[in-house]
Amino acid sequence: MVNVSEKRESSFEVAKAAIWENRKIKIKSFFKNKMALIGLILTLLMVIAAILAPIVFPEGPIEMDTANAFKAPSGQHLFGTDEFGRDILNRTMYGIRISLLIGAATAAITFVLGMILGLLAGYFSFLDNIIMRICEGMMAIPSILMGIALMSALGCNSKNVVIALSIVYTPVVARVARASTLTVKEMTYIEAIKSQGAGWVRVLFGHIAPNTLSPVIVQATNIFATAIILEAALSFLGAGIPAPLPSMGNILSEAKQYVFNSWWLTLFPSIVMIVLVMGINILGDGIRDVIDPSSN
Amino acid sequence: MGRYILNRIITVITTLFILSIVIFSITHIMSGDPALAMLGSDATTEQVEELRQEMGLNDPLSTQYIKWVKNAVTGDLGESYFRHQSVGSALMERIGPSLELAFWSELIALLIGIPLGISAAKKKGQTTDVVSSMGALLGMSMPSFLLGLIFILIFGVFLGILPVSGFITIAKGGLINHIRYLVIPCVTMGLIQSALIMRITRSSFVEILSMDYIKTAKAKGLKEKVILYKHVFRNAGATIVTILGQSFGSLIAGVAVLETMFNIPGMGQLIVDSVLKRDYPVIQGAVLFVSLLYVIINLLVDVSYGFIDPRIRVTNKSK
Repeated sequence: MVNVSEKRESSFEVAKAAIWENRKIKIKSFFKNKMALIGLILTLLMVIAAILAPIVFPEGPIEMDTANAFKAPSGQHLFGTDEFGRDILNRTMYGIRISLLIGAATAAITFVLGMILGLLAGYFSFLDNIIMRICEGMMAIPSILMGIALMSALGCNSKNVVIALSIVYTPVVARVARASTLTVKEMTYIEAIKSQGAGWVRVLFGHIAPNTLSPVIVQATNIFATAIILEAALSFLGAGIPAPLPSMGNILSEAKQYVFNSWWLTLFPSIVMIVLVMGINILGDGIRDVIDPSSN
Repeated sequence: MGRYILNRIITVITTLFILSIVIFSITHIMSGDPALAMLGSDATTEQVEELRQEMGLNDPLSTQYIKWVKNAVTGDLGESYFRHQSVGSALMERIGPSLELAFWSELIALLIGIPLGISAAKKKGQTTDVVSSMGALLGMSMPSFLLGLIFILIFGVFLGILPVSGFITIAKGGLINHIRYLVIPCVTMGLIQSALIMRITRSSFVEILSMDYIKTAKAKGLKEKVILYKHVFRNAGATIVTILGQSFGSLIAGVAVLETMFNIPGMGQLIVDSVLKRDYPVIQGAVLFVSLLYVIINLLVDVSYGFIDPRIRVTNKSK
């Protein structure tokens, strides 16, 4: 008996070591991937800007200074000022903060909800039809239309933007998680666990879920970036974050009115917005290459 | 084949049923009373109540839903609250500019995206691939309105050679003016779309190029052009159809935003306007119409798949 349990112990150790080795290789290959590294650096830069916003500009992004309206970029206002004399660098940094928070919150919520729905749909065939048909019905509405309609139903504020975006993107995650579950549940080790008498909760969440993660994580990073874009589009149309708060969409929507006189209102926030989303997209591609090489 | 098509159609019908419920629920949880909005804030409670009764807003939701679906099936989408016209005629009035915008944008996108995607796949890892993939990544990372703003800044403000907002019909302003107003929106949308198309084309061509039969063809000593046109393209048929189907969703999204931004009187602008005014019937009708279009296009894509690639008829059942 002692022998058996020792053996079991040692094979467990070996398996554990192998998993660690595998993780190390993955982390190494991530850092060897130049593009992924660029994405990571760009994203970190944006995160730093978002963290620094309240430290560099403790007065906040809303305070007006009408005496200094429409000032072109200068040493004092690097990105210039808008029609209320608000510093554009200040608003852009707070804008990054809002966009990142909304993107991250949406990605996290859709990840959790999509995982649960996808796992259930993939595992129980009687739920499959119900959940997937609802998801398909929701995905048949183009995301921007769904977003606008939901926002006008819920009312414009930051919390509702996250709710609306989560409703828009959860079906997308659920579909990926379901597809992944369908493959994993046919594997032999699941049969083995079931024959040991494990209940469905343990089988589904303890054993199937961890092995469906890769494609879902990739999808979630993707949603991080697209949620930022959709939020910007909603705010740009006036159906997102309400006006004085500086989301990237608000800043650019305001900039559009003065595009003929004050180019700096458009140019700098545009560049920042592109770098922000592109950084996350590159990072997402890098993560995909590392954890889910077959998809490339 | 008949069974495959039937299967797809049944799926589509269930999808449409769910879709109608989703659209109906969204518009009905919208806060705000349309009767109050129509009459203005100084209307008396009795007046509002009377109008609500007249508009059927006091009926139970299920009755309202069934009435709406019944009428929608016969093509009657109701009357707009504010436009003094039926939703159907409002949609018909607005569909022209949207279709035109969508058509030219998609054409530009295909003409840029597919050749770039193919050449990137052929030269995987080389400069062409890296540069065009970077370009596509840039396009994917940009909301359409942002590229539009940049074009307004360059062509409208700095160079001053193109109009930056509005729409002029051929009858009103002549062909040249008509085109001049469409250039910036269509190029904006086309470039954004081409990024997605380039990425899909590239990845599927990379897959096809790594197939054994391509290696065989190469080993036989066939010329690259022969391989590309005779072997690769035949197998890329399904891909190109997929591209058309998949890009339609983002096309609609882009058109909705760009119409509002460039002040083009199309369906996108109609929807955004109606949402801001809480014009329920128009929102319901327009979103239903656009989604229906989307579902039908995807059905056509699925069905044509079955024709192009017989394997799908059998293996796609789990979907």
